[in-house]
Amino acid sequence: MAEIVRMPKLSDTMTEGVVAEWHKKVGDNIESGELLAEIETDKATMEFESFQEGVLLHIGVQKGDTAPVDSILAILGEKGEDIAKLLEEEKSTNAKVDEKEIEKPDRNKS
Amino acid sequence: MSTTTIEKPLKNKSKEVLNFSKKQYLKWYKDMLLMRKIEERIGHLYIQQKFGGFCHLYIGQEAVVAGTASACAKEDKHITAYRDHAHPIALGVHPKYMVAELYGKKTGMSKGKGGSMHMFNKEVNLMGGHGIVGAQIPMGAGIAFADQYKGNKGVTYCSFGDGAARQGALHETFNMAMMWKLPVVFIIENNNYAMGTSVKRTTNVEDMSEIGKSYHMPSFVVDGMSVEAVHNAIEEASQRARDGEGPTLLDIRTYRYKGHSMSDPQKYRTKDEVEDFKDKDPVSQVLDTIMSNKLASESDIKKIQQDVKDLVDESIKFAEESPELEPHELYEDVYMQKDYPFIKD
Repeated sequence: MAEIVRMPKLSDTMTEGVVAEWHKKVGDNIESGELLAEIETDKATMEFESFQEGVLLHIGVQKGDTAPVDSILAILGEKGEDIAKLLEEEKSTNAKVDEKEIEKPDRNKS
Repeated sequence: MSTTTIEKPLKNKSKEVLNFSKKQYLKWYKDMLLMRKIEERIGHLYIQQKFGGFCHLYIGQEAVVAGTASACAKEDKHITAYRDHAHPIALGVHPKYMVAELYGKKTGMSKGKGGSMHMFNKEVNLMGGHGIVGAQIPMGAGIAFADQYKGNKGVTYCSFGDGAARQGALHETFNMAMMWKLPVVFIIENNNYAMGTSVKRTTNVEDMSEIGKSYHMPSFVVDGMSVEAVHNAIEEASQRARDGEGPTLLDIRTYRYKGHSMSDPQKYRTKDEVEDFKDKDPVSQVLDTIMSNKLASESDIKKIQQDVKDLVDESIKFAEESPELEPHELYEDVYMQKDYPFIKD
């Protein structure tokens, strides 16, 4: 079952991260504890070790790009696994989250 | 980071004469493995934002608190800094209350109001978890003074890092502690780095046991990667305190594998240095002794590893499912008096 690796929060004040370097490429096998990428936070460039295992199926943030904490950094899973559904689900959950946020002010009124 | 070797022993040592029981070795292994495994998970949970605040991991330093806990008496008291997740485990608190505290839940050790840096437990005399660097040095002496003044038995173990040891309050404390022969053991958890600054960059006296000697305080350097060495040093120091001979300073040389906090890029040391210390990993050393002396079978060890894994999972589940605090609880546990006027409505 494919799993999403999310942009980690590597400092108390970090809201987004820049991928400074990828140490793995799509198709590589990743063990838990292996160096996956280097991420530039608001404080420093930190090494990010994976705590998940599997084959790197998808890279969500390319080297040099910025992405918010929690967004899809990568997807790990079994070789040849279809990840389209996972990406689709993520899109619809994000849409739901947005809806909820819009609803919030109304709830506070009551 | 290479995967930790604690699942299997480091090397095959020949059989040796052991000064501790099989039961003691198995307890050390289980407790230290639990500290290690639960903190590895805590690190992952932190970067996934399952809880906020700060997070300082004890990974690598487990032998210091495990050896202290095994050598102390029930009535003894403990005070430490903010690297305090392993203390409750060593003292026998179920780890689920520590994890719930990280999550800021009602079921946490400090009712969810302390977080990572403020673990307290009255039953096992854990007097915190403190965030102010070095503040626990005078406070630890104060606890020992209270015990001496009231005629209680009990020794206080006051732990602080090599960075905190540079606070001026240490000198006033050492002077008074020696003057009054307080029943306190000062433990420097010397992991060689004050955040990112190495001991040798901050002083011309790198042997920290020298600090105590200027007050004629018995002071020793201890191998902090060996739980047996820590136990022996603590036992000897506590005996001195119980006999009314006053404090001891132990410069316990340990090492942390992870950063100072979660946002430490660790540019101040080489990866080889970290790997060198992993070769004398305290948890692996205990397992090594167990296996080479045939104190347990492989299946016994597998069972301990499984029990630890289950405890970690149970603790995280407990924390995640525990209730949040109610808003009115914000005003509780603030003052000793029940209806302190300032916080009334």
